[in-house]
Amino acid sequence: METPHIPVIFYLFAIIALVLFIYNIRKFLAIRIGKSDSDYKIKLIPAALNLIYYGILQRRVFRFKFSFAAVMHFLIGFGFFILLYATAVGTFVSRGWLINFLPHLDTPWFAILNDTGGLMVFIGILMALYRRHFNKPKSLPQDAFKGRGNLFGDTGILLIILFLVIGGYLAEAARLAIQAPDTAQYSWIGYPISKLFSFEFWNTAEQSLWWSHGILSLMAIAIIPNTKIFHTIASTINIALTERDLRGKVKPMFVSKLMEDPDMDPDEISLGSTKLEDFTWKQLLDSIACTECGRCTNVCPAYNTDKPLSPMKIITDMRQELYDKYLNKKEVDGIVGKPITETELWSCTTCGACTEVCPVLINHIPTFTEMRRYLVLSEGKPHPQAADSLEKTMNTGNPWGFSKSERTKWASDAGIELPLMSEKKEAEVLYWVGCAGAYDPRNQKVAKAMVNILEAANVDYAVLGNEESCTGDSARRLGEEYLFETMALQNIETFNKYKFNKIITPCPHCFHTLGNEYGDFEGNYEVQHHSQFIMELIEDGKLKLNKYLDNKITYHDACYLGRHNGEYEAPRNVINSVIKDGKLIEMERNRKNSFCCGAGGGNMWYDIEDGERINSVRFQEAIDTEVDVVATACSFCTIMMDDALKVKGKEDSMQVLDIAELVAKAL
Amino acid sequence: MDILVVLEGANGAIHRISKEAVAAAQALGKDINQKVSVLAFGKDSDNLSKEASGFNVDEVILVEDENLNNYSADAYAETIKQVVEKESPKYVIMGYSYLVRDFFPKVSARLQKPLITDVIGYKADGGKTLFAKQVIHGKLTVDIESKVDGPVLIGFQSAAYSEDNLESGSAEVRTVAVTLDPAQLKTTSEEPFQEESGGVDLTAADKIVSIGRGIGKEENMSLINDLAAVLKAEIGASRPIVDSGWLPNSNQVGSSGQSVTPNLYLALGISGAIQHVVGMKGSKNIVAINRDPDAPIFEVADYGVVGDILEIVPKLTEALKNQ
Amino acid sequence: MKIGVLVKQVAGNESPLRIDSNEQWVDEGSIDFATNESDSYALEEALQIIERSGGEGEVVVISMGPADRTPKIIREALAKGGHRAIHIQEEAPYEIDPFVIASTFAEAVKDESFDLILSGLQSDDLGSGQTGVILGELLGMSTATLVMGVELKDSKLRVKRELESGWFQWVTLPFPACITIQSGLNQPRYPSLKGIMGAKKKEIKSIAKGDINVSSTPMQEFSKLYLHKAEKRTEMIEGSADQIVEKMVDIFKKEIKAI
Repeated sequence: METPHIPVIFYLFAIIALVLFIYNIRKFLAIRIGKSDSDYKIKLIPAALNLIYYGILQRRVFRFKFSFAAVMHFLIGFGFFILLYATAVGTFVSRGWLINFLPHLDTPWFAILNDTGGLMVFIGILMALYRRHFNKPKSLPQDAFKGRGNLFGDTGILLIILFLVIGGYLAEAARLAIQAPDTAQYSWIGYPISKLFSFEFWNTAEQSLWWSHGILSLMAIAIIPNTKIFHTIASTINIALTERDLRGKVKPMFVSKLMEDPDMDPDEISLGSTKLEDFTWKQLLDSIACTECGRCTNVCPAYNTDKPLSPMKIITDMRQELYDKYLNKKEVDGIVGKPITETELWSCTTCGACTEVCPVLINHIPTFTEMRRYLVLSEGKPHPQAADSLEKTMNTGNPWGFSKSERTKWASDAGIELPLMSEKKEAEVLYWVGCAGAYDPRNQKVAKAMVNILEAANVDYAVLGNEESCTGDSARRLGEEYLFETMALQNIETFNKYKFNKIITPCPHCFHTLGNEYGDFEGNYEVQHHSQFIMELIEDGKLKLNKYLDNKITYHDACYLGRHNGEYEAPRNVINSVIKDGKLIEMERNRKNSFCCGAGGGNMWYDIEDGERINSVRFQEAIDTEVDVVATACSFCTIMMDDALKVKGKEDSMQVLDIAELVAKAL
Repeated sequence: MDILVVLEGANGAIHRISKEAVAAAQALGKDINQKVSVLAFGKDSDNLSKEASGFNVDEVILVEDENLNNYSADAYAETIKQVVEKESPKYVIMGYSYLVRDFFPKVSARLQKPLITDVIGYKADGGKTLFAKQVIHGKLTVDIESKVDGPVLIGFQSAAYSEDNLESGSAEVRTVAVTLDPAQLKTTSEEPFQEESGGVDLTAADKIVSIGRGIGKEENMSLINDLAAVLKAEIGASRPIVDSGWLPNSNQVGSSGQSVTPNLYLALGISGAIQHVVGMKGSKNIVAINRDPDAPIFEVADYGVVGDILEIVPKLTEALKNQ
Repeated sequence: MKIGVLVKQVAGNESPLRIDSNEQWVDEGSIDFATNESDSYALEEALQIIERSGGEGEVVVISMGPADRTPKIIREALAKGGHRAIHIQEEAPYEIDPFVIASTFAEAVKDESFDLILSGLQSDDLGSGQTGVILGELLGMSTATLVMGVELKDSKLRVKRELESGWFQWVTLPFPACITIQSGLNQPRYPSLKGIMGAKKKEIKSIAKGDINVSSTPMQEFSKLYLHKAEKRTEMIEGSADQIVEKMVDIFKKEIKAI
């Protein structure tokens, strides 16, 4: 059996193509514009696992099992792997390398595999073309030929690949016709094609078919980095280099250290990020890796309620500026303002849905937060309504502006005597009430329910009372890192005065900030969300539940408990422990796919005027489940859902209750 | 001269706030046994003095000077100063309007005599008279005492006294001359005008009728419009009303809307959620109607009614019409 | 142009107030302090005036208050863009006579020769609304109050004064001028961290009030500070709908004076 003899001149072309490829792929070096990241540590095993799980198995692409996009991408992706394998084998065998270990081109299973791979790509591309032209998802670039700076746009490159696949089959058919191997029929697509024309035809056409396919392939390889196909390389690299643990974690700025430095010149330091140099190389790599699949935008609650935010747009804007600066040598002063507008940035609720679905592991939130930091810390331009809350936090220790000295008024007004840390000095549990629990009448009810629960379970607990002060969560998400740090350091100083084993709080924002972010400032505490703590109490038998509620209940996942901290089950278990039939009803979008209530990222304190209210959209989902109670586990969610309840006019048929309130009812 | 009330004109007649000041002065005069005179000047001084001659006061002083035809802080202040120097009153009283704020302190500076402003009442306590005003975001009241002999300048707060109590009578008009040197009158003014409002400015409103979800259906809004009209109040709303599109954003009161401090805030069917309350807590008088006795609005309200707004509002409108 | 801005640190809106034993002032322990609201607008206007005239000039922040807590708002004003500050240190008991207060300021800044002095129309604590005007008079400056708009016209100042019920009036006055600012004429900027860092190097000149030679003695004094109403208890109006309405009309008329 002969293998085609590859002429030497082809190798010359191959080398030219390789050189062009390398020249084009130099765009990776653009990430060197970014800062180095001292926290970054790549660990080989997790990186390898990431690569396999997200890169090869493409786990995130199949988020919804057999969706159109998932099937399409599987066909293209895996079909391509097969063809890649086949081509590699073909090349080796033709040079006589490893000929004893590799299958020959006409080995039956190999032939079948080869042709199947081609067909997979063919069908996948047709599906992609259909999707792009007839079934356009809103979040994708509407002008399919333009894309975002991709050569030939999105459609062009699909057509080129299609052409290559057809060319490949034709070249194969020619080879089969001329060589006529015994196993030809195993090439189950190429073989029938070869039968379509005469031997003479194929004989004449063979050289041109082979060469055209070959040259076209080399040209395609050379331009891969400039087309949408680049994502196959860039995304894979990004997936391998992403540290899973750091996802969503915002870097501290250690402002107090900066302030103490006598040589510090405010004009020299970058506060927040707007220039490309302000971002880390990894953040820039994230932007290069974006495949423009649009999934982040599709799940973004702001986007889905007609706010100007599209996470994909911001990431690709960043990329465009990066290429402009590095490849086109343009002056890029800063990306905040233009092309990334302030309203886009303020629309983000930091819910993390974008980060959760991104197939290439882009970490959107820290990038957005750093841009907000630039607006607030360098330009002094927070969202005007947010500025009010920030000033109140600064002056009174809570974003509502209520008096510091009235932080326990909710308890004293109700005749509750709270055990104070200032008196007890130590306790098993420090109950962190939070600003909402202290000042918001709706959440004061939750705080009272918590006290009932703690008392009923005989927990040794204490509160900080008037020594408690905002954790600074909203400040941090809004980019006011200086205020956040001030609040954090203050609270840590207070915590350090006392002894306790753990902090429990009903607010996931406090939970997240105290538990995950105070550690940067030497505030290392064990922090539990009240759902986790209550579940422990129930399981340990310390909390006896007497009544069983016969409401129909659904649970709204809090973003900062669920997506940001992976806790989906504890609140559900708590709910199921108190309802008669033990089973809550799920909304369509739940757990990782939950839809934000709209208050995160500082949005609690201001309004983006455009479009519908996020909480109304989410509440409609609750209405659709036909429950009479919407259970929440977050102070902000409770306020938002309660608001939406009123807008939708459901006061007579539905209620919003925190899980603590549900449990208190069942005591 | 004992008590001198300086009159302000509005549309050719005596400003309501000046009538309140005269009423206050008459009451004070009775309590401390002093006579009340009034001073009229400015472009409508003729009309003002004629109207004032129907008050129960000792006399009406009329100053006519062409430098007073257009408002000028310097001219007005200088005029009052010269009259005071001629007549030596023990008290000089004005209703403390936005215009009066512009020149009355200048009189205090030029005479080097104390001015007590935004006065809501007085206590005549034997030898000394104390004047009360509200301080610290209007939450506390303080009695202020003058430590010097007169004249003591007093600016009464709008609506502290009612013009209904102004006693009529008859008084003679006496002309007094002042010397105004145009070179010394540094400020000049143009005609007052009303601004085209692009939406309602609730922050300037004196009375607000505010609605929340308790209103029920959009068609019930007409009840609110009627009430607001008869009360001459602006309409405010809590978030859900604006979200439902029944009123534009500019009517929203709350942390995402406007922060208001009217004299009367009538909260109808508003639960009192914190986002709303922070926008109206500063109101001087909060009256709330809500069918839920546990509604948080009752924690900030001065007066509360547990009831059905759809029943009460139409009756209230009717009753107010008959006032 | 050289602009002076008076800023005052006052009790925050939400602070609980406890009258001290002398019945002269409140116990400051439970108070959260903040910059007087209209002063923030005055400061912003001053900064904008400098920016509008090409950035030439300086804004000097002036405040009178205790040594321990006042620097906070002074630094905040410097962080927003004030160039330097003068802090007149006054400890409790605080002066309440506007004439003496204004005289103190006048004496402290007389050598500065400001072209323009801005202050808030009144303080949220004492609320006399006179300090700015008297200061202007003492320094021989022209004055205007309740300013909602500022223009420079033919080397004079043209300001829009607020009157009641949506009426306004433009007033023209020559430099040097001392004007008081009404809230709402601009959007006070947020102090950026960059500004806060820069503020650390800016000069704050501290003068003890006792070192300022003020000839006038107080002409008015607090006699007694008290709570006018009893601690807020909601008065519930009860009865049938008609009875309720009748009582409401009465309250509107007599208590609230709304009709």
